[in-house]
Amino acid sequence: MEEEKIMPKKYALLVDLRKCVGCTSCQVSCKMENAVPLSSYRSKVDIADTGEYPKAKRLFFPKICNHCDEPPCVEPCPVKGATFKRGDGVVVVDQNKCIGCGRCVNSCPYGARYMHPNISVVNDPAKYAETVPEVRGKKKGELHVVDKCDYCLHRLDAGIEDPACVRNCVGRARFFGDLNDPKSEISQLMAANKTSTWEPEFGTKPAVYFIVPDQDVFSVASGPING
Amino acid sequence: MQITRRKFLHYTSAIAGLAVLDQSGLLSLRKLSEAEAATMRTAMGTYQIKYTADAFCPAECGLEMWVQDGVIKKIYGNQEVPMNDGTCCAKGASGQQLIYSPYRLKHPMKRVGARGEGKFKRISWDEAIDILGGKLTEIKKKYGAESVIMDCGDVTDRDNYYRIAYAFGTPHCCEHGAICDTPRRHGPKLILGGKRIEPDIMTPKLVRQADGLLKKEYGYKTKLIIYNGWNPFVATRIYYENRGTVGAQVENGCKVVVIDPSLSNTASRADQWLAPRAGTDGDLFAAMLRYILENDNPKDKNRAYIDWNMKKFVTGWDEFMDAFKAWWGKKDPINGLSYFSEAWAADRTGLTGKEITDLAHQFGITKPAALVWGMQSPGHHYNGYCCSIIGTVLNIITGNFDAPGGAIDTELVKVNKGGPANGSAFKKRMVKRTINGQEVEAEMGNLHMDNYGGRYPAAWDDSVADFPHAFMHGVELKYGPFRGHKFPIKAFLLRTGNAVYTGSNPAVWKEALTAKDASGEYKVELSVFIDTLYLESALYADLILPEASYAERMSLSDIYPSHQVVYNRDEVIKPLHECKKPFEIMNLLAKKLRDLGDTDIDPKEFWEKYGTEEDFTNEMLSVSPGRANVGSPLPYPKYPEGYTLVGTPDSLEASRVKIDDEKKKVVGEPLTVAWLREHHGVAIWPMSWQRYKKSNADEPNKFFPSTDTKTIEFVWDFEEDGKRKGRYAKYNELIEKAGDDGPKGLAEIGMTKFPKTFYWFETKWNPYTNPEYKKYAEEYPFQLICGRVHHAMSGTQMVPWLGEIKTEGIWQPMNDEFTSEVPEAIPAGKDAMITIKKTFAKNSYSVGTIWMNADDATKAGVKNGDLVELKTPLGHVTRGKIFASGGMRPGIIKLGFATGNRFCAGLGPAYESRQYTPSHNDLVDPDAMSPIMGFPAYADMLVAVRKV
Repeated sequence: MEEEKIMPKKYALLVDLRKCVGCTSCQVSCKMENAVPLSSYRSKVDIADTGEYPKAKRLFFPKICNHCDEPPCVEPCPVKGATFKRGDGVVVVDQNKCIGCGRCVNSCPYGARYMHPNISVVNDPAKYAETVPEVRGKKKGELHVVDKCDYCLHRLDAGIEDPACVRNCVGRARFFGDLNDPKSEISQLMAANKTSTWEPEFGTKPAVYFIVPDQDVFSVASGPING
Repeated sequence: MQITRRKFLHYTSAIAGLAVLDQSGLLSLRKLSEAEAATMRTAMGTYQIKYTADAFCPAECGLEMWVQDGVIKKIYGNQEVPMNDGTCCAKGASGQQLIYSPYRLKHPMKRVGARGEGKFKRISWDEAIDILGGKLTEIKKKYGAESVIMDCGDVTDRDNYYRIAYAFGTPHCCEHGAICDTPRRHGPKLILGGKRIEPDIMTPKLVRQADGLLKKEYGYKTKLIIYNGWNPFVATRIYYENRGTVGAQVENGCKVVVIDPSLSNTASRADQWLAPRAGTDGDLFAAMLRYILENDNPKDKNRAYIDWNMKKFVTGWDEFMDAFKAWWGKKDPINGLSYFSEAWAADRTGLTGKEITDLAHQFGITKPAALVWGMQSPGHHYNGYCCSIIGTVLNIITGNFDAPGGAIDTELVKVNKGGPANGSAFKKRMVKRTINGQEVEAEMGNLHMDNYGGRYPAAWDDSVADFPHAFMHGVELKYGPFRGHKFPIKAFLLRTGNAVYTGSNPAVWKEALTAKDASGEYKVELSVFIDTLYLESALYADLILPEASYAERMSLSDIYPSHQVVYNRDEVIKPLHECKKPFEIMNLLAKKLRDLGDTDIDPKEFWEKYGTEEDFTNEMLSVSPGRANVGSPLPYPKYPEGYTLVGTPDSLEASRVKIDDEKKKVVGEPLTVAWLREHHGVAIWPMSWQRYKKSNADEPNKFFPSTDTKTIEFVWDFEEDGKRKGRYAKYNELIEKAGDDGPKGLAEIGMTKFPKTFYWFETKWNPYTNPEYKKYAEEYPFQLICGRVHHAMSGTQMVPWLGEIKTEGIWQPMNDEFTSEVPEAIPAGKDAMITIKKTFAKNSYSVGTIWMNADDATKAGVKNGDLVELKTPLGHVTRGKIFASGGMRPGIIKLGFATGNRFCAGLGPAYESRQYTPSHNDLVDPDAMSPIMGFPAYADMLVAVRKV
């Protein structure tokens, strides 16, 4: 592991909800890119029908890990370095270290993390049996690692600064880039538009931004979705 | 991904005190080590990128498929294809779950039980081709080749099948368009020779600049888009309308109005949603036209609706307007009001008069604008023709037709492809038939059952929904040289379509395909199903042939852009299982027929001519782009205006061409698959606008559009220079020669011949516009409409990633718990998918649902998730669960198209929900076939709701 001295990049995602057509390409493109199992999501579009005729509306809210500047998922992790925030802003899981205790899953108020049913733990949980009751008495094969959005880290690290959900976005509503570069498209859009984050009152400093034509989208997204 | 406050608070309280996390020293700031990064780059570098297109869907977006060790690992949009400009929808991105689906057809099979039972036995390809060739040969000898129908269901890659069928001697080759939306396309076809009018919002466009160079232009000019019954965000055939619509709104202040009884996804993002009664789209358009004609004032900037200069480019303006205005003096029996007046339209549509006149005014005054209508409005109504005719006229008279930012007939400007490959030249072969003891010799094409039959002769795309009638009663030709010739339909070859389930009401298809003659044999002696997927129609086949999936074969795509673009659908991987490509199936069958003595099959026209599918595709490309050098800016100023362009973009650009003045052609180097592969799979020629007008004068260029006079025609049977012209003229000539009472379809609406200009008639099963149906309104209080669920479509509901999506009120997570085999993505290793058996929890997976207004539901005593039965006045029933919301006009019920009662096990998860999902097709009136082209009136029906 190499400590960062400088922070050359600060990656962030901006979703312009004025341009979201509700197609869910981001959700499925993510599954395709990252082999996300059925019934689990790194990225999910919630769709809610609200209001009475003829004032009814349908709200699309693409959810994803907020890559919080103060990620609440890091502290509860009993294994140092199993989940962490990179210098470039990406909150990641090191699945070689994760012991599948699930604390980070529970500590994320946004539901951005899940236990991957198809990837077993490789870090022997026996070492943590004393301090982590969640894994006590369990073997590697019985435990599954945590998975979450990592902005398609394998693409980023290969120099492709374009997560699959952004690459395929049908409405061209998603913008990914470096906030430390004032010339980046995302920086310019952030400067020119009022942006919001989802439930900032959790105090985790979410770093996924939205241009929001209808503020109801957040309250709807946080409540039970109809259907 | 739901908010979970409680657990979060538990942890945050536990770590209280560590207030500033990033100063606590506990955060690991890490970047990839150089070795790790190198490994990553290596892994990414091992992908082979293939440029192909998504024939999983009619939008056929250009795709990049990333392949590793022969396995498709990634799917993205092709960034050089302007229709999708690098983007890719949920369906496109889920391609692996179709290609690697356990539900695919894997080997040839023959029927061992009765038709419909679904009992099949695996056989070899040799045996399958023996059966197919043998039976076709027998049928041809006994009844004539015209007793065979080749229905290519899906539009893509039909050319191989058309070629073998035409060569065999039948003119009956058809495709999906026949049961898609023909009334919607009728207006543009009559008036422009086109098909689909779409807003000018495809970006980028390649445009000739003042300096002579070509440049990709982004940005939008459109200021108003009206989508009537068109939901491009869900039924995404014209895919650029997704990013284009929201792009024009956000970047150009374009207003978007959506007219739809339901709050479609497109409506949900519109600036205005107008929800009229079902089947009144034409009423609204007619009232808009009347308002514009009555209130236009060229001297008043706020009333200058009509671009009177347009008259220069239109033939038959006065005749059309006279016929249209003649209706104003008549009173509609349903309401006693003057036709097309504001009050008349308000009464029929249920909109307010002000909403109607405001819309007309806004459309008249806002330029550039586009008026667009879709399959969910005129497309699926008995009288949709009237609507699509008026809509076309509205775009033209307001000066929006082919204007920058206006409305483009995309059929007229897309690339010409196919050339001689599809074998249509075989229709010119002379054949003899004995009719009433007389031998008649004429071109084979004159045996066409629709065009020369007595029912729907103007069925340009064939009348597939009328096939069951032909199966049961045979065909009698009423027109043309073979008039009086009778023949039965003895073979039905269905390829990548699902006509039994979607081609009108399934009951009539099942009846026709299981009907037996006096000797106990099936009337249709041979029923064949060719597809990648195992769908309902397969259950009624004698022979099933597994076709290579779209990623395993080669062809071309060119779906409705603003200017000429064609892209290669390359073979990405080799055919899986025992599947074969259409090209291989064509040659196998051709050889077999030849071996059996069929001399109509010439080896030089098949396997000796085409050694590979690339040869075949190259021939399809040999005529591309095949469009005239017209419009402003002129695509190629160095070539004569109006000359047809053929050849690669670079050869045309670099003047590596031959100019043929006699044929008015500029021919560059032929476009080939090899050229496309070197250019990201795509060839693009320049955009221009006002392509009907000379580039240097305000007069018609007489090269565009594709009508008899090469002008915009508001009349369809007329004389000019001593010649009979217009789109209906040839049918009327045939009817006149036959001297009979006219075709069956026209008789239904009181006509004997096709009308010369504007016409109007009412739709069926609509108590608000057609007095005949008023009596049903009380007992059956809901109008039934249907809409596409793009992700689910008709035949792709076995893809589980698409079951995790919901769409409007018609595709909702309302499943009962079920267990099914499904493909599951594999995070690492050679394969992309493995098949697992998975149990899906209740309400976690989308199924077809019944969408109704929330107040209507309360009144009917039903709520979300309740199982109900829908029943029509004809006694047809279907069942499904209710989704009630405010996003539906009261008095309307909407179902998805083909999203319920999926009775074939090949549908996987969708099959598991068949008992509680509604089938819209089961409720269709099989006798309501729209009179001009014999198209099923899918969206004309009434239903009652009963809780079960």
